Amino acid sequence: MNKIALSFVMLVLIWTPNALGQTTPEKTILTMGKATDDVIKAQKRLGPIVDYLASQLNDVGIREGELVLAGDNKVSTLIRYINEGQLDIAFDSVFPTLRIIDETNAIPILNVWRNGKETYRSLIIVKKNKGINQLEDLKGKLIAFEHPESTPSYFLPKFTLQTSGFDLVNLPAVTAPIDHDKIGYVFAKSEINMSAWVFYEKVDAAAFSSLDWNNPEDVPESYKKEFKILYQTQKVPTLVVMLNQNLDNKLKIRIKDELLKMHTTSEGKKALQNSKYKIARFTELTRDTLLPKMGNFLTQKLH
Amino acid sequence: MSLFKSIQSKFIGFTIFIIIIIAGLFLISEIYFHHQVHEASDVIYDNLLSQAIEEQSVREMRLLATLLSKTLIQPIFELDVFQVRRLIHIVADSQDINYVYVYDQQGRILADTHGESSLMGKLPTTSIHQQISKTETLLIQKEGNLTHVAAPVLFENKRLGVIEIGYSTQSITEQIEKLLQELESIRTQIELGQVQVVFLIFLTISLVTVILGALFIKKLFSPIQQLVIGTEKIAKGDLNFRIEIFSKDEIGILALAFNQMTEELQTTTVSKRYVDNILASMIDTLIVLKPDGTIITSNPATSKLLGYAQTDLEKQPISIILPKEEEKIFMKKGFDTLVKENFVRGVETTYQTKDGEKIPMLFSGSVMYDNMNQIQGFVCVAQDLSEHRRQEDRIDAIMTALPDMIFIFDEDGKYIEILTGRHHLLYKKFNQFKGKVIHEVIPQPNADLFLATIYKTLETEKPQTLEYQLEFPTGNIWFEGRTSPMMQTFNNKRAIVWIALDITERKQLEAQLYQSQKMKALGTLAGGIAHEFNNILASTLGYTQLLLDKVPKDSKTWKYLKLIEKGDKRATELVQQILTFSRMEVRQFELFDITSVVKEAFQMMQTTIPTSIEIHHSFQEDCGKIFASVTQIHQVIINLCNNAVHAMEETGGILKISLKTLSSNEFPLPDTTQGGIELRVEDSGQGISAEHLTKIFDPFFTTKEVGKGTGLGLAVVHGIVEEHHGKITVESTPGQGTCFRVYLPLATSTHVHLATRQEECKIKSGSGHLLIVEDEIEVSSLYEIFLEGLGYTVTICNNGLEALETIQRNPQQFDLILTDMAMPQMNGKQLIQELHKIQSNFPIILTTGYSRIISEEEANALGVKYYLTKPILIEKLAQTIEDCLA
Repeated sequence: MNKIALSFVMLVLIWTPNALGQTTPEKTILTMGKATDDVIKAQKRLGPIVDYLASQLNDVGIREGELVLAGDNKVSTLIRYINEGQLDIAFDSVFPTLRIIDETNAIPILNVWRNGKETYRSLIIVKKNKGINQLEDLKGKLIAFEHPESTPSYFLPKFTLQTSGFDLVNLPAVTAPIDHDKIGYVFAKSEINMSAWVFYEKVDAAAFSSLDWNNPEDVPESYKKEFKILYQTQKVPTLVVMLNQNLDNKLKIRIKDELLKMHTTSEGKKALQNSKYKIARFTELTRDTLLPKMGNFLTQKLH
Repeated sequence: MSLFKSIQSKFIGFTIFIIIIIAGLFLISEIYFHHQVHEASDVIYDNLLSQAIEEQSVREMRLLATLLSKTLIQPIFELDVFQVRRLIHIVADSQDINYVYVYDQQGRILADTHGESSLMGKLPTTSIHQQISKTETLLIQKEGNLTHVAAPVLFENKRLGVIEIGYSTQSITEQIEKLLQELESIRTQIELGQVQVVFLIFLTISLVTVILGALFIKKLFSPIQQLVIGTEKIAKGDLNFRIEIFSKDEIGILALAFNQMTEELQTTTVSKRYVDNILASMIDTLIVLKPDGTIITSNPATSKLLGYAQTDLEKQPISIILPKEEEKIFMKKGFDTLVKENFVRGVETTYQTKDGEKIPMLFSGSVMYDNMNQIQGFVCVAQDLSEHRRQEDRIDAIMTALPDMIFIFDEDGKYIEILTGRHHLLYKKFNQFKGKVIHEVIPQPNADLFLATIYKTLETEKPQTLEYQLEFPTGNIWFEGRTSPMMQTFNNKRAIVWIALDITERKQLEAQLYQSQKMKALGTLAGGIAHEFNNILASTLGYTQLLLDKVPKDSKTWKYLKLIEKGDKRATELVQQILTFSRMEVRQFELFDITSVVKEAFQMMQTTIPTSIEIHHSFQEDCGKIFASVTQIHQVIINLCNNAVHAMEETGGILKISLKTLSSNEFPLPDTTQGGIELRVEDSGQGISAEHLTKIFDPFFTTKEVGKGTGLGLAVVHGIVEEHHGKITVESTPGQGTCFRVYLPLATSTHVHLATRQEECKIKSGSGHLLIVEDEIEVSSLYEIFLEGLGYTVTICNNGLEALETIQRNPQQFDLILTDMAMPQMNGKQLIQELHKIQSNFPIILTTGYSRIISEEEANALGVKYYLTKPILIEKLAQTIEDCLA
């Protein structure tokens, strides 16, 4: 082998490992999102969090953070984004989380402390003067839920009532007739509407999140004086953080670590305050924080 | 108030004052009326604008309330509080709206824009709201700055609720105020513009008024101004001025009278300007004095010359322009004579300038009398003689500097003028000749010669030259005379200029040059002969020395050869003396201790000195080394001692010889930093007369009897000392003795280096093919034997032509060419030039027995580096060949 040939071989040997090492392009943009009917509000809430997170992940190639929001407030849209790889981190309440996990194999990693609470529950309230004193009294009556995607104001109370043996039926209008052995339900679209409808006796009952029950914007004091709590469900996590299963393992670990210690750093605290989401911190998602049945389901997915 | 001195300026000032008063009144009235209008319009603007804007806002609120009540029918009917809230918040975002309330059928608050929902479900607390919450129609109620507009929400004639909009008129009020301020600002700008326009118009009118006024005033006052100018001009003596008359008014009549007066004055008066012009045109100074000597006036030439302003001299005493020492003389010579004789002419005096400079003047004066025949004053005219004096000094200086004497003769041979520097030695002598004819002062035959030369110059009208000798008490002086005819005549007689130059020294130098050239020719002749002898001796001595080596020392032949060698050497010494005198000897310089050499020479000499002569000697030890020829230094000592002995031969006496060193300061020769030695030889003999003393170094000068001296002894000494860059002096007193001092410089570092180089030269054997070109067969044979003995191959050619042919046949066969300079057919120089055509770098050694034919510098210019002069020592020859081949 002459010198020229030897040099060529050497050159190839030097360059080959680098060439072989070039795989898929590195991920540089981290995406975060949720389903919402108010995109601007969601941007204000999640924007500071994703920006902070991206800034802490420069060492693993992340240069910036972006929000990917399901603006139609549909979980199905969120699921599509995750499956298409557009969304890396998703926020949602427990029941949508169950569906998302089922359809995307997303990995639930953290629980969110929101409004100073790690968990919340659903409350079924009625007007004091209506003579409704137990769940049984709701048969043949009309209950208002907020929205078909709401956990505390639809999934959880409906799930609880159904598991308690009640049969619920969705009515097209508040004036529609109700079978005497069933509980009719309608969607009021907002918490204040649920409050007003019960106050003005448009419906007989309404299901609130325990967090919203204490918010005067949703339940004005003058209304609240006329209400009483008929039933309260068990506690569930307020919000669950999920990761796209296709993310690099190292990146998954780094995201989890950064969110867990976010409330301990000055920049992290500042981002949480700026988010207006009233998130105090992120904590590990454990069996104790979940309802038994859902807990079983969720823990199967936990690492 | 000199500003308003003239009528014209007063008139202008008054006009401007009136304009300012009118303008001021105009501005004040404008400002007053404008202020009144402004105040009236403010009231009108405020009321109308406020009313219009308020009406407009009420209309807008009613419309908004109506629209909102219609929009909220559906949400209130469906009890969609969320939607109701959203819509009323949109309305409440408007700037002027303070709040929006929505009341239900019972008058309870269904929604509001205060936030926190604290009022929801409650009845209004204030009476005005309670009234509004139940209204069936559109309702507007004002409450301070707040206006409540309410409208029922009706669906199919059923009142579902009431909406109430509370809006504040605060911002409307602010808006009105803002508009009024803007309006005020615009109005102020317009008013400012108005003021500017008014001011501009005022300015324009004022300017036009001033210009027209100025033109009018100029027209009005022009004749008056001309009167003023005319008066001033007449005062200065100008009577030609006339005033132009444009009108027949009072001013016109005045101007006419003025012109008539001027004409009358012109006919009766000599103008001052006329006199001034005469005085100004004078080159000489003119001063008019009062009888007491006070200056009345002077002309510009006076003030310019003396450095005063013309007015400075007026009323000053005449002594101001006279030096103190001249004052009395001037008064006596000038004034006294003037008073006695009425005038003086051409008195030399001195004026003094303002700066104190004294100026020679030629003074003239006359007396002025009045009608009563009383002395009115004196007119003094003086001419500046400075330039005249300067010319005199210049000529005198030139004549002093020139060695020539200049005479002017008329055609009769009379001395008209004698121009000789005052310091000239012959000034007094010739100055006595002035006015005399040649034959009175010049003896024959020179007088005839002079006169003949004058005639010839005048006849031919061409310059003539002649040389002549005149006898003076100090001795005879030679002159060169040059003549030239003059155009000018003296007493109608033609004249010539005669320039005489003292050429005595030149004549003496010419005589010396003649003698010197004669001696030089003699030296050259002797040198040529000596050179020929030298060549002969070189061969005979060389062969003798060779034979001495080959013949046994105890043989007769060896003894004979030794005698030949001795004779040759003696002959060589004689030749050397001649060459030394003629500077053609070949000297061998070396570095040696002068003390030991002087001692050695003295000891040699001592044995030959008669006992009648006492010898005193003093030699300073370690005087140092000099770079010189030992032989020649021996020669100097021997010759000087011989001379001394000769001077005391008959009477006996004392011979003193001494040697000592002198520092550079003591050494009499310049540029000798290392100092030198002084060799002193002194005798107590008869001495040398002053006449002979100047000739003792001349060659062949001798006072000895014929056959006893060559006359070369001291000449040779002088030549040797000169060649050694030294100096020789002699002092002699007849009857007492003579003392010679020889000064020689000590050796320098350069000399030491040269001597070292010479020491290194040793005879070494060598190899190579040498071509010897020498016409003297004896010499060439000597070279051949000697050089072959050293190992060289030698070829001999007897002339340059033969050598050239030999070389042309095979230029490469020779390693070196040794050629003589002087040869028949083709000399050494020609041979070298031809050789360079064949090969430019032939190694060549040039030899010559007579350095004057070609010098070492000329040989170098030919490209020959090695140059030897005969007789050539065999060591030198061997070394040079070795160097050349290296």
